[in-house]
Amino acid sequence: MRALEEKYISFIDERIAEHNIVGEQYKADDRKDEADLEKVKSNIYEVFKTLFLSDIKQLEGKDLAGIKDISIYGGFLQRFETIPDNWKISLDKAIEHGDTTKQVIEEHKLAVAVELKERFIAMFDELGRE
Amino acid sequence: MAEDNVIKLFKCLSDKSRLQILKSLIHEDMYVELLAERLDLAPSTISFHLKKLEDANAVTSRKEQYYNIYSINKEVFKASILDIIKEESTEADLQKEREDNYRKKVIENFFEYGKLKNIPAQRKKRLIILEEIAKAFQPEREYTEREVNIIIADFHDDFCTLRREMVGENILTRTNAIYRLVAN
Repeated sequence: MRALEEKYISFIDERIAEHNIVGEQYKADDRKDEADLEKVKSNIYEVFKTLFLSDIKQLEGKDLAGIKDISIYGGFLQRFETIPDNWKISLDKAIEHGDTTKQVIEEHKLAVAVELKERFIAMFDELGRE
Repeated sequence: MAEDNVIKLFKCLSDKSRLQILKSLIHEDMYVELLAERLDLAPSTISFHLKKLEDANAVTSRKEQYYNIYSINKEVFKASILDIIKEESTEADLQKEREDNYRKKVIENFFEYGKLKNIPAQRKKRLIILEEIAKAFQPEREYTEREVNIIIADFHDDFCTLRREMVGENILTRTNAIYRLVAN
């Protein structure tokens, strides 16, 4: 589990750093709105990083037998269903009302959640049971 | 051009990607995917910028088959900056502009896609949202209480509170259970 934690957190940190760098480049290039969109994305990585650390912390000191591994897997995966729920509702409303600005923001947030979910599953399959 | 529109336009133009979009549109009208390809930006980013340009009245759009075609609004750019600066505003104009901006902000904060998110606690803001709801009523028409409730329920579930507030604020009158919009 420790290997999964470290690799997943390191992946998230790398993505945050990448988006922050791109955001800074956009700002320097007088493209503030695109810089803000990069900030939106890095905030979503931060949200899931915090949730992941919180889920991991809850398991600390407990018996980390196989069943617990399944618990972190299922528990954290569930976050990818519950957290983006409101973003999906917001996206549907934005599309319905032609609110392109909001639509783009919600699409970016959802894309980050999908990426993080896929990476988590892949890393868990590779390292989760070590 | 009103000062708030000028500011909106200038703010909108102070972005490199939006300037690039306008530079492309000055040559020919285009749709999102083509602009995305030409400027090497994601179509969603182009749509995002076009929406802002459209809101600032810098571009217009028209539907052609499957595409929304965007054109630059040349009229807006024909005005010289000197003329815009020379335009004088009276104190009354400025005051009205401030009030309009405040009203717009309150409406944006409390309404989402035509639905009232919550009823403001502050009377000044509440009055603005009640006046906004009042736009759904026709002048000089008589409404039963049920009709009033149905109209208000389109905005918020607590139609009883809002109906009473509208009467209390003299936006609607109630005589023998019949409601009327008070003429401004």
